[in-house]
Amino acid sequence: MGDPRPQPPTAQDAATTAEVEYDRALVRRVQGGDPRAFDELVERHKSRVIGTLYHMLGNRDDAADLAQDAFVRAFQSISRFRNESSFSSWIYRIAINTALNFIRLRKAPALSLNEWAEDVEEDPAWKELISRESVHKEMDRGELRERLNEALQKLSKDQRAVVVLHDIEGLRHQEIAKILGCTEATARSRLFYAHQQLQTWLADYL
Amino acid sequence: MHVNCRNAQPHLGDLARGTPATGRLASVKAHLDGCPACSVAFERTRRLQSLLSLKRHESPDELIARNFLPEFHRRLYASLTRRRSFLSRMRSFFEAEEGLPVLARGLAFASAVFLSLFSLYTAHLSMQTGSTTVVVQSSNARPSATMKEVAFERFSGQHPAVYVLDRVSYAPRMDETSVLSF
Repeated sequence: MGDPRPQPPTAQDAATTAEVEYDRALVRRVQGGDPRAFDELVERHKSRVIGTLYHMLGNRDDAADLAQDAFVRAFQSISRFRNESSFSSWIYRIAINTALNFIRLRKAPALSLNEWAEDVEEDPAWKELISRESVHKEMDRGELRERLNEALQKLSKDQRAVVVLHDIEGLRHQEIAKILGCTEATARSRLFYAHQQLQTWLADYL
Repeated sequence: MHVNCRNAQPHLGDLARGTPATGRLASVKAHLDGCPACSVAFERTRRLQSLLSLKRHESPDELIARNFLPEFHRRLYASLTRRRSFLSRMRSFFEAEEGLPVLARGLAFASAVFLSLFSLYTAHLSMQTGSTTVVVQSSNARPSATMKEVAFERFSGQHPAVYVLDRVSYAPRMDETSVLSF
């Protein structure tokens, strides 16, 4: 009954399309009565969801908590999911909406940040940053991390969502618009004004 | 399409990220080649995006990732076995991510509320009959009416209405009887 168990995509596949189709097969299995397929969806998407929520909230414990809520809500609504959009976009949407509601209700943000992995120093972006004469060569990584997160938290929640999805998660405007339930033009506009503000607050590092 | 500084700048983020310069982006790129101000804005956008990309190195705790699925099962079980309040179920209904659009659900709910209130209102109006009446006959009756009576007369035309005596201030003449019709 239902689809035969799908094979995970190989390295040679066009990654995005294959991943989307694999997710769709898993969703069909869940809707067909196999809840264990949802466990696999959780495993495939949990890191991105936790990461997105962490960047939105600046607090790792809240991010983990809300990520759990997002997946529980997704499971409760899975029968209504039409499988027309990708599961990835859908779970992003649930997670972002959960975060936006949380931000609206909480009194003040409380930063609780993860450390940067050691491989940050191998990142070309980092090397370029410290190579600039305008940037203090002995710049503290911890200080930069805090300044970045404080600047993000100063943005409005809608602007922060677009910055997180576009600049950190690397999504395109088309997908961001679907996730946020707005037009592409609105997403672009929010990103543009968010960038203007961030450039002011982070001028020391640009 | 003609590109100027105003309509070029919202697209700098895409160019800075390395999106292939085709179509509109090609026009924006051509504009940058001839506009120093936009070139500076482009460079600042590129540096900002590069800075923000460093946040990808803030990876979540491995402990959180390792314990995620067991915790998810625990919460799911708790949610499925917990009796949900009516408000919670209503909230879930309106917050469903797909299916009947939220606007349609909202309109349906608003319509149901409106119809209920309208039914109550018309039922309330029909319950006005049966209260204590005073029948006084007079062609010259000029009672001073309350606002409620004036409103009722306006909406219902010539339909007669009966009101509780204490809502009507009327002083009939001593020598005749009158019928009050509103």
